[in-house]
Amino acid sequence: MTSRTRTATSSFISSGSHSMSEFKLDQAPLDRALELALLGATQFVQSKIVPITPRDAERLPQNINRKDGLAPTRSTYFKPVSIGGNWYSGISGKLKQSIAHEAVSPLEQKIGVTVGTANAYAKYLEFGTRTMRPRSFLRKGIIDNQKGAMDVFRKLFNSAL
Amino acid sequence: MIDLKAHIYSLLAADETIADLVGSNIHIFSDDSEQMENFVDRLPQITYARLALVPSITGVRNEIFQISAWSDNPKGAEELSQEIVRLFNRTSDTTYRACNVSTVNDSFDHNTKSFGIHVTAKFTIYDPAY
Repeated sequence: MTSRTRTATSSFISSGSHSMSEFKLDQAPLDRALELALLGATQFVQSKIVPITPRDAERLPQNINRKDGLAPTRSTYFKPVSIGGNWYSGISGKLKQSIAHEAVSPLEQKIGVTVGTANAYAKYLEFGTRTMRPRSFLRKGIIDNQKGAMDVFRKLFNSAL
Repeated sequence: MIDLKAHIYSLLAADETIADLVGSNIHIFSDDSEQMENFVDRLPQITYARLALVPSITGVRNEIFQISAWSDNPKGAEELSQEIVRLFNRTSDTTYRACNVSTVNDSFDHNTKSFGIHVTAKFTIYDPAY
């Protein structure tokens, strides 16, 4: 049975009109498809990380009541809000806005927090401090969405080829 | 359902090298953070917390834990984190099928002047009850 199969296979190869040397792999479209698919998967993961970026819903922002009882100036505080007669600093959303990705190399993307105000405290949220448990959003976002990212990658790669 | 948190505690507490370094200072991060009082007095210490639980297929799940090594000096934190990696990386036992360390990250707490090295470990668990 084995010898028959071998014979059949060898005859099939020898009788074919094309040899393997005639096949040429065009690398450029393949690389473009990979880059596109990787970019799409990265954007998908980034879009999933932004909603889980920590913001304590139960804790009010910084209290900025003035001693004279007047409303705080908008030039000093970011979008101050009044809740129950008290003034609070508005939520800037800087960390959410700072989630970004960049290409390290054509086939390597990096997701993280851009350099800026939020970058200073992002690591404390991600890894925790002495008084706060880690509120991971980057690692958790990537881990939780690996399967979804692979689906996006596969779909984009197939459509780009 | 297998309680991996308790199992990790037992593994850390049973390891002689780690016990030499931290004594009984192994803590689970909690939300009320009450246990984090006297943080500096308890250095070096280990804290750990679950980051994510990802169901894989029926009866199998992946749990991601962050195990942090804290010390008042970088060398102590490094030494402790290496012991954590040695204890968990590429291991398996009767409770979990596999454990692999994915990342190791450093941080510094300015208030307490303490160094933290955070080991992210992925545990794969076979748990028919899950």
